Amino acid sequence: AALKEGLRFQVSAVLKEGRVTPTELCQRCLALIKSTKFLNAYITVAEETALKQAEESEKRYRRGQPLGVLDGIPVAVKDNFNTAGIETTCASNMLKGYISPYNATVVQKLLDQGAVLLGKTNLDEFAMGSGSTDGVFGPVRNPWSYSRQYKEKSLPKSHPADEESNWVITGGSSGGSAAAVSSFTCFAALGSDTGGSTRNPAAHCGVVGLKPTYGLISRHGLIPLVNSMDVPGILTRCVDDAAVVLGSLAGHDPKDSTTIQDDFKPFELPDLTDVSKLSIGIPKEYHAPGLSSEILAFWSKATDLFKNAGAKVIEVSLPHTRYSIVCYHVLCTAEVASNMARFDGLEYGHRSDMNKSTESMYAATRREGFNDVVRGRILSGNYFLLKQNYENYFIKAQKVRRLIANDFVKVFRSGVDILLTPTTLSDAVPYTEFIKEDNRTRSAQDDILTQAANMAGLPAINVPTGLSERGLPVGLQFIGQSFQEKQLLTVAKWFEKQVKFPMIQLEVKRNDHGAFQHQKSASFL
Amino acid sequence: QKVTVEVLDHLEHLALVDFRDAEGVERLRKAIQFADQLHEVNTDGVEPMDSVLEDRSLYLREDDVTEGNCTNELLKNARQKVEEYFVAPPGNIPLPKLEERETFLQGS
Repeated sequence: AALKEGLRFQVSAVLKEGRVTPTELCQRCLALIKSTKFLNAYITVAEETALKQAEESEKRYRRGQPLGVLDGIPVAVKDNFNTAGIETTCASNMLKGYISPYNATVVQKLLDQGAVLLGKTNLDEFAMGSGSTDGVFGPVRNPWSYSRQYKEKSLPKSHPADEESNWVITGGSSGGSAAAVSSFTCFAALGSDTGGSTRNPAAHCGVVGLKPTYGLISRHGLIPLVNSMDVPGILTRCVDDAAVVLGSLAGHDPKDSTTIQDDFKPFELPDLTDVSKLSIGIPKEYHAPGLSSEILAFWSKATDLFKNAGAKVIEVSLPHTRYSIVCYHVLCTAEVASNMARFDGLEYGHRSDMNKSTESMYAATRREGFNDVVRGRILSGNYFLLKQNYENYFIKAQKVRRLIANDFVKVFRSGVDILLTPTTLSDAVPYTEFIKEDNRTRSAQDDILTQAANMAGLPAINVPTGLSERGLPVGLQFIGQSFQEKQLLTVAKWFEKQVKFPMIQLEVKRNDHGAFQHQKSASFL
Repeated sequence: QKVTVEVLDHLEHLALVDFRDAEGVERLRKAIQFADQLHEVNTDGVEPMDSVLEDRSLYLREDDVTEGNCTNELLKNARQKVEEYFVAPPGNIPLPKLEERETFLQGS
């Protein structure tokens, strides 16, 4: 029935009451994954293990002893998190066939709570990209491409052939996870966020994408891109769900020494009714070149919404915003050059047949295993790290990073509680258009609004706000203060309630037991 | 032009990754051009920032062995192994020089 679109809380209640069993829920999701295969959101579907997990969950529910709210809830994980016994590929030839011997901490935490792991989701190779188009398993399609809303607005007189070439991207690099949540195949998914990789696809796919504060959630087992900026990201259909998942994942991990040691207490989000004590900052530099007039309008309406509700809304300045992307470019490629050095074919992953010497074997392995994007970043990174360039590029970028981080500190110190900005420059573009520009150009353009939060380590969240003229989702971003996720999510939840983002009316050919229906309301009962 | 063939060759050696074609080299040139914008920013007196958590102490644990004995697990993923060893081709053989290597840079 209508289970799939239900808010996780409600699903949990239903599981508890026994009206639906975890096994049924799991089977429904697996069936939906099959019928939405064309989205290419999943790289690996762990059907057998998922059903086993669902069975175990069912036993617990029958005993009246569920592990918690997440028990029996189907989830998906981006394929750059290690999952024991399940292939982890990072959408790269370098790791095809790699079966990890351990679970990333965040994966283990989900499993310990009884969540059912449906599979690993698609991404840009090694999380490098902003479209989820550059992975070895092909691009991910945005579920909204197949929505009634998009079809009505954008393809009114088209033939099915046109539909095929008009599908839009999910954004990236956690596109698979965003698409999985957006198309109801799971209730929550893990992504990663280094420059916006969780928030960007969340905006394009109309789901909630949370980037937590750096140091709050363990990176142990997340195959690293930029050690000083990477965080696991959370994708869900509503802010409350994000808070629950955050609650089960956050906290110090002895296996990740970059997680803070402060005690983390999971929280429930209050239903904010009075925003008059809130001070919302609107950074003027986020009115970036290329920002579509549509998104500008949504942003404007949102500030009005807060104003009319009595909040204090002030324009602020983050003067170094425009250097954030350049700074990221240097620091990212430098860290990538270092992080990718581990892939040499000796201990895991692809190994070339070239046998003349270790160096030539390494070179051949990496030549065969990495795509152009990855190789390009490794080479650029090595360039910036050359002795003659180190001071002028790498150290310089680190100094600029401090300036960017300080911009935020100053603004928050001046009394602003939360910043409100757009998440992306426009709604999702068709794949055929997206691939006209190369990966680096695209990333530079698309990460502009999300990157600075990673630079400063701040928490940020995309909240789906409305539909564009083309019938596609538009989201807005809230950026909060370090480790103030509760405040950030509380405000996000209030905003979500005000805007009432419409449910996707997915039109999918059903091959099965008639399980899928269009739902008009968020509640599934 | 700071991106000479020598530099490119050096990078291929360091990175053990090849430029593959003109596009690869152009990609690097564009990346450098892009990064040059950093020099517009005045960073006099600014300390480099390694980590946003620089004001905190990193967690350090006791130097006790708490896990291990997973030789079989770790060997599972290696393509070439003998008993408990990862097998590597002979080391101490430097990557062939530019003229002798199969690299796009040869033509430059």
